[in-house]
Amino acid sequence: MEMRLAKLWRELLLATLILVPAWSQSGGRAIVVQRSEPRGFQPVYSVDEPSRAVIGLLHAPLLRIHSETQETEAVLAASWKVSPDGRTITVNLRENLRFSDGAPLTVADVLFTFAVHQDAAVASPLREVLQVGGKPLVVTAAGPRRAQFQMAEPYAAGERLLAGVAILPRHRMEAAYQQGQFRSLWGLGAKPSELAGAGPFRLKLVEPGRRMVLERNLHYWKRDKAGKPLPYLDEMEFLFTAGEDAQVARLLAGEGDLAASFGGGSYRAIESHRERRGIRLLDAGPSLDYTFLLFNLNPGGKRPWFAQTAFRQAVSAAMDRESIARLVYRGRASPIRGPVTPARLKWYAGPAAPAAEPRRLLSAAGYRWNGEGRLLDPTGAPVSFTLLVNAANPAYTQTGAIVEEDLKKIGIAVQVVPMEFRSLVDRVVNRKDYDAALMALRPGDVDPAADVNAWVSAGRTRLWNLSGQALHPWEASVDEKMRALMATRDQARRRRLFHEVQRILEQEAPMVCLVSPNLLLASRAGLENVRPGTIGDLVLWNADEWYWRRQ
Amino acid sequence: MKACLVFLLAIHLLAAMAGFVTAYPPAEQHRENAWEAPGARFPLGTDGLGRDQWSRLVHGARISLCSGLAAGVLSAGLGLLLGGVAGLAGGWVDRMVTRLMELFLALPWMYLLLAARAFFPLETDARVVFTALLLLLGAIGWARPARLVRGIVMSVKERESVLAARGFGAGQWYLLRRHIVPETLPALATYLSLAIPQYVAAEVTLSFLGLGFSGSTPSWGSLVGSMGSLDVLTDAWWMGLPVVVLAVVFGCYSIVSSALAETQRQGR
Repeated sequence: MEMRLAKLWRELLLATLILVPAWSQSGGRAIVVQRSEPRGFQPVYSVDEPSRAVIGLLHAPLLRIHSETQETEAVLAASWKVSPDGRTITVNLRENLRFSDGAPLTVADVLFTFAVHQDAAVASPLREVLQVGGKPLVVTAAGPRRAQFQMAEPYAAGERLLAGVAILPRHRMEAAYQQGQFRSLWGLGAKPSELAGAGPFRLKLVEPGRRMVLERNLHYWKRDKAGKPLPYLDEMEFLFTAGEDAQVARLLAGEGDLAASFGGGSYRAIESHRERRGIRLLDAGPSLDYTFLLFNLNPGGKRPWFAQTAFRQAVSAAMDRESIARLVYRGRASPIRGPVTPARLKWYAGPAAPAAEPRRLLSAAGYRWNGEGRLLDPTGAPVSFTLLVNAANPAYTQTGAIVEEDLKKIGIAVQVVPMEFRSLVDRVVNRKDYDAALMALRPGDVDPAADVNAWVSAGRTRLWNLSGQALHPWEASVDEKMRALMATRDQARRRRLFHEVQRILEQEAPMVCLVSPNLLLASRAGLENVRPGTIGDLVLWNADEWYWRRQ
Repeated sequence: MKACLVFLLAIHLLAAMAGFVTAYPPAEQHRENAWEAPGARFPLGTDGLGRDQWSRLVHGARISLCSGLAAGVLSAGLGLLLGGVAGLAGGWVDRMVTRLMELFLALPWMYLLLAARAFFPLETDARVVFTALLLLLGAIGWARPARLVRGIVMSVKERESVLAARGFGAGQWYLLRRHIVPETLPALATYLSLAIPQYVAAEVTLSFLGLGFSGSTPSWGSLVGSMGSLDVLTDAWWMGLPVVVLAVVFGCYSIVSSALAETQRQGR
């Protein structure tokens, strides 16, 4: 009898040890303070950051890139396999997957999703991304829970193509798709009951311009190690504010539990109040973002100096990147000299070699200085150019002032022109009517596949030269190495080639990279498991694992 | 009133002598001294790039006050001319000028300025662009003073003294010089004291929106814009001093205009 009681006691104790922490993690609401509101809930068209943040919680893809490890991981897929020739990916779905309305998620939904994205009439922003060698992926059902994706040619980052493509509920969307009304489906005015997704939350309430509440998806597939269903939180609320200052003020006022994507100045403002307000601050180091000074190297560009490597190198060498990081970003940015930041872990080639002295580079290229210290080119013309900056962003206008001062030291007259952002982009991308511009980019992935469009001649976002041609031998070399890198699955070789490309871009400096702003985050003490990542939604990527620590 | 006039005179004098009363050029960056509080070396502290705030305030005053003055005088001058002609000539000339006035009063000047800003080639010097924009602002601002002048002229030209002078053979030029223009001057002075701060505010607005001078050339608008973040408001109180100066200048102009209006009323 005593033995049976002791056994019963042990089992009760064991059950308590397992269940109590799991129980204590459940419930509650986390309020995320955001600077702008989503434009809609349509996963196909909503590509803006606020929409993607919410959609990422309402829907789920087959695979995703783990935001910390940067490796591909299964989400709705139980497993996936790439064929030895690198042309076919086979994905097996998990068992008993359901959308938030309780309807089963099957391979038919996967086929529907990719058919929608590849339909020219839908004009999905992902249509071109889901093409390999200019041909769309061929998606077929290979079993009740198995889908096959065939590519026209071997593609090194094939499975990463599937990451981030939210699987759509065919039963909810097919009718609108057939009737040609797909674009108007699930706008901001959609009723919560109209929506269904396979993400950790579902929509509960929308108050346009003010807030949005999501509630736990009872059919979410994921469980924690103790077998407890995720997400832990009952609700997620998004509170919308106008601008960064209001975002920080509402966090400090206790109206929100989490804020991210703010600048170094706001970090400093929160820092001085954090203990009193019970706020945890985190500087996660460099992000994937990088700011850069872009030269107009398009054919017909007005400044002949820009075509000379020595001139670009001298400009790069004259930049006081430490001052930009310290003064503009209040120390919350990392100086960089190439477009790949240390946040890209295995793909980062390491710091660039020290730059030569700018005046020596310019002298060697035939430049000289007049009595007033102004730089004259080999023909005797004074060197000056305009620099476009985004007028609405103080970080850019301040960086512009530092660039102006740094280049003045080597005799180059720079005229900073603050400009409305859309006009700036129009000048750079469409009209190509500019000298130089201060810009920033964030690659969508850490894999080199994300850089193809930005670096190769045929790329649509190779900003320095949008002619589609390789005008210089180094551009042809970048094209060749990137092509080789995309065709092989040998990861060591890909890494080596990518490092070589980085060195070429640092050496040739078509864009003078300046700093990578750090990823900054503030959360209420007690909200656990908030871990900033590097890819996808940098903060909400693991929101299904957030929980409130019980006092 | 007198104190306000003295203050306004002093600040205009300071602006005119900016180069003599400051130790450092306004764009010079002392990067090791960023966000330094007011002290012996930097009387009004430094901004985030280590630039002397005193120097920026005084040099900024030159741009903001001069542009306000220039635009105000231009609009008042054009207003006097066109309003005077309309009031004096009457008939179809008056009707045409009045319709033009209504058109110009309805123009959304901010959008017009933004559109005009976009027309300038990028290489155009920022000072040239800004001067052109303010002159444009002054030029489109003629309608308000013109309406004022037209009303005065129409009333003055019917006065018995003017009719008598006309009866004794006084010509248009004589009437204009001796009877009409002197009557409009007090009203125009009041208008100017109201219009100048409005044009200064227009510069502040443009620069605050980042569409005025670039960061290295200071104006009061860019100085006000640079304190528009929470950390500056909480950590660098001295960055708010330009706002105080701006408020005092506006207040002084307002007191002066009220006093002028009162004098005008008593004179009637």
